[in-house]
Amino acid sequence: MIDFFINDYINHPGIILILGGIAMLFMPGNMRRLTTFALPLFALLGFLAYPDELILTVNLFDYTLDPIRIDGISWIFTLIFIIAAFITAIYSLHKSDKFEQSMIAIYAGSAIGAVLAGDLLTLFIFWEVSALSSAIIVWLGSGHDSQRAAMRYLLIHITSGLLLMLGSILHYQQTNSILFDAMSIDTLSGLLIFLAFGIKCAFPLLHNWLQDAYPEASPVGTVALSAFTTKLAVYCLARGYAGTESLIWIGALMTAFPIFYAVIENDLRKVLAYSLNNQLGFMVVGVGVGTELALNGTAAHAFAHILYKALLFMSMGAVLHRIGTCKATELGGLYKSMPWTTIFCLIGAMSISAFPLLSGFISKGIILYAVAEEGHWITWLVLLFASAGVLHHSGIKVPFFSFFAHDQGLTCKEAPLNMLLAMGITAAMCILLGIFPHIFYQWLPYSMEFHPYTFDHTITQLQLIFFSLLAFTVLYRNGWYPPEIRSTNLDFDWLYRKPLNSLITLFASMFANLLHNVTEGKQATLKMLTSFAYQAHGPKSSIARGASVGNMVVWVAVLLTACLMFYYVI
Amino acid sequence: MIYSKKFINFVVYSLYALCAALLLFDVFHHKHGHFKFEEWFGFYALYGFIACIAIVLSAIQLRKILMRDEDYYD
Repeated sequence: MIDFFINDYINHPGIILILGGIAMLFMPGNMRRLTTFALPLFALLGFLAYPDELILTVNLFDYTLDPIRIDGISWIFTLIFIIAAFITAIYSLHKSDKFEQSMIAIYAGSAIGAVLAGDLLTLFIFWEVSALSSAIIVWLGSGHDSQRAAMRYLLIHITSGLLLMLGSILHYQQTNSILFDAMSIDTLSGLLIFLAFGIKCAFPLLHNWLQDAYPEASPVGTVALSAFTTKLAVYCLARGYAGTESLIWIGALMTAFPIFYAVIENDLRKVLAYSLNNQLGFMVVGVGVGTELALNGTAAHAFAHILYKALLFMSMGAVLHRIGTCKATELGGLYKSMPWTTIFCLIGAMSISAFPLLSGFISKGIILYAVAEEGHWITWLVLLFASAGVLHHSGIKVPFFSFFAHDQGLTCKEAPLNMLLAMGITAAMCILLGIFPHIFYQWLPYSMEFHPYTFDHTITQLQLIFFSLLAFTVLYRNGWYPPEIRSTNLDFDWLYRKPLNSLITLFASMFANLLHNVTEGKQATLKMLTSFAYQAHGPKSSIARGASVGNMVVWVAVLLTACLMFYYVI
Repeated sequence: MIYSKKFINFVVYSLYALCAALLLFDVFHHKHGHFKFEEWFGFYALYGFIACIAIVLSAIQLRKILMRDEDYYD
């Protein structure tokens, strides 16, 4: 048994990260830094020691569990999660926040464990660990606002976990299997699990936890958060609900609506959170289309997106670290003080805008191609609209308002060396994937024929990009571009932060009043009631008294005699 | 340096020239797409341009409904 465990689980990259993360809580500063850096490398070595295809089955009581399942689609998600953990680890080296570094390792490990889970029980356990550890990462942000956001975040993710648990139990009752395979939203269990994934994937109207919590974490925390939770949800959707048609319109809606918010948002990390939401939409559409090409597109886009989104969050995190704010109204002209950060941010911005020679051009290209192949022309038009929109807010707005725009006379030091290194590595990967897409293709779940650098694709994409740039230039130079304003923009979370909150406060005060009246006015009645209840149910009451064996025998004998008499009479 | 009028004008006019050059491809080259409308002259260019203008103009209107003070939730 021990051998079995050691051989199969010692390489589990998720468990390596989780155990390492726990151990880090007890380590002194430098040793912890070294472990932060080394853990993802060990996880990678462990992962690569596994074969490319593996299913590990364990029987626990009546259940058949697959705690590890490696195949095409879980392989690529695990790989990118380990890479993201590595990048975040380097990015965090300047800090000495024990809890945060350890939580990030546990969070990354649990996300990997969830991706490798082949059954719903294992998935649920890792799902909850990831929810809890990520909530702590939000909590460790910068004070009171972060803590409140973390509580809201936790509430929503616990709801997601409960839905997953409920769905899994129903699923087991119906099918007698707890393995995590293709499911349908036509059954109640399938629908509940779908909703659990939908919350984590930030579906429209279920999305606000993302924009609420991510910008509240520390610069390092946000980079970690941006990589795992939502992409885990995308993976789960791809595993369970590939080809579910409603995902096409849900995804299309997700690509479109966050753009409008991103344009008027002042906090640049919040702009990136809206744009993260919009990028998830592309992946969800890919899952909805469900062909091998589309699923390849989803996996490729998740891979590319984790890198360039982390790069953008890292550059904004560096600005926050040096200047103390990420608000567009306070920033501008930082290219002079932070030239390297500017360059890395621009590479991230060009990647997310799907510039040729960068990763987004390949991955978004696959999804749009797959959508067009299936003839979904309206969805295709929405995605193209969203591509122009992404360019507008992430490609232009984020770098323009922080590093250029108006010179605010801000001076600061360039980002710390470890931050620059993490950004440099990520930027290099964005470029490599763009220039050599074939490296990328061999990691994708299915083999495919896709040529991104055709004359038509390259030119049309350049037209889209440069005419969007032209639109921005025309608007900005004519003063039609909306000025940055310090503000809060109402989103769906208004519903539970304002009216629902007031309703609960109202009920609470009504209940408190009621309790007050009862305890003050009806003391005598209350006393009588409690003493009556005490007599009947207290420790010396007849109900609480234990019956002796002799008594029981007498009563059984009485009952049997009664039965006998009854039959005799009849 | 980059805030000088000369440099800004240089960047802006380069962008205009580049856009014009990209549009020129549509005159000489016949595109092949999945959909008929992709093959229209300047489809991608116009779509990108109009989409961005529409996004910004509607976002300005959206602000009238959605914008509150920064400490609205506090």
